[in-house]
Amino acid sequence: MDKTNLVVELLEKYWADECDAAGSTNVHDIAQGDVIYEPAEGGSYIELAVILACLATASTFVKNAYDIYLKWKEEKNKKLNPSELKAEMTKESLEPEEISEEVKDEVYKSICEKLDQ
Amino acid sequence: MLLLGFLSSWLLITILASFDVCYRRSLVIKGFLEKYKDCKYIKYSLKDYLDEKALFKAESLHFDKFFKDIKLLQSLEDSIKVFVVKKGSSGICPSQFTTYSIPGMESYVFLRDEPDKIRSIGKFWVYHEVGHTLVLSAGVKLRLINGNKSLLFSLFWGVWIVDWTPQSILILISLILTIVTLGEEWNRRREKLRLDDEVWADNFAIESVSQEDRANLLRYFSKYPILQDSSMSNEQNIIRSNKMKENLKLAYEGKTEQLDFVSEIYAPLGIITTVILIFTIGTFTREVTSNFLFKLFFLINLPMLLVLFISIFIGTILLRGIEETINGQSIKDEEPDSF
Repeated sequence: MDKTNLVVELLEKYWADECDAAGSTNVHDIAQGDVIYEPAEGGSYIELAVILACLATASTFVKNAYDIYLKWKEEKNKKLNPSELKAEMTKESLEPEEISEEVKDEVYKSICEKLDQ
Repeated sequence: MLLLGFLSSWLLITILASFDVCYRRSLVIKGFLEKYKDCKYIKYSLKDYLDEKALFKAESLHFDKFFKDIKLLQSLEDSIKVFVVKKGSSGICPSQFTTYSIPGMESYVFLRDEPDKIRSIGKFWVYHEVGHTLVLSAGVKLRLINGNKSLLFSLFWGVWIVDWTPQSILILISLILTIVTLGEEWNRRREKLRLDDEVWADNFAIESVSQEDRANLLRYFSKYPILQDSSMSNEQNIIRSNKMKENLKLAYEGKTEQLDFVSEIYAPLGIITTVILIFTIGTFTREVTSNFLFKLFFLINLPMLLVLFISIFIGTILLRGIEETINGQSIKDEEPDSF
């Protein structure tokens, strides 16, 4: 499965409110990872910086989990289960504190399911 | 003489409004277009974002149909320009949904999603901006620009045309005291009016969006403090945010008629200003001579007219600058109509 599509899908699933507030273009740009957000000046705003930062953290987390899974699969020719993926992520210090354990576990489960297919 | 005084005062207000237009247009260029200079823009019509019911309501609350018919004012469609901002090669994009409103003229709304992708927050923002262009909101903005400037002008005017006696000097002193006293009241009112204006536009948006959108908005706004206005204090932004949550809840419960404002009763400053102006000029005006009228025209009215034309000219150049920048960066294939 394409990495960007998987990131968008998981962001929409586990950070639904944030994605709704940011809008699909922002979600897609964040999933692609080549966007730099800067505030405009002098107008009135709906300020999305906090929401975009939250989605950027989530996106990096999902991408790291995706990369670790594929790396492991390629090097050891073996599929990972969610707890093994979690252990690898913890070992590499790639687990963000801002995301709850419950959501992290759900994301690991989804990644394993998607990439096992 | 009284008529001339009012005309000059009107000229002063028009000049101030015209400079305000220049300033706000320069903000669009400096604060947005120059910052995101490699972004691409797609222009959409307001109709693409508003449903029919909301558009009808907005049209009915927009400026008087007569003024639109005789082309003195822009239609709602023409006055609100909606653009979708697409990422350019540098990847720099705005972290907000942004609007620049120019009272009585145009507004620029910059969003990130096309009409078929827009979600609750984006919709709320478009409706909010439509709310800013309606009669009450535009009136508030014009009052904010005018402030107590016409009172200051009456003082200046008085120096010119009043026949100076001990009595009229007393009037001059009282006029200065009035300006100082009312100046504070104007500042207080200016703060409150800005807040009122935002709450009014929020309420229009709350009334216009669907129940599903209201539920989503309630959730977002209780989770994140995302409504920010740089022209308001932190305290005012909090008041506005709380008021919006209260009003969203009321609307979600079907009590749209109970939507609340933050207004309080203001001192009738416009009336006070006019009374002082009429009293001073009407009582102590010196005899009008052709020499006086000549000096009045060349030393006051003519320079004011000149300044007005210059400000209109600068405003037009800035408008062309905005148009050319956006046209130069627009995605032509997806653009439904030209700027």
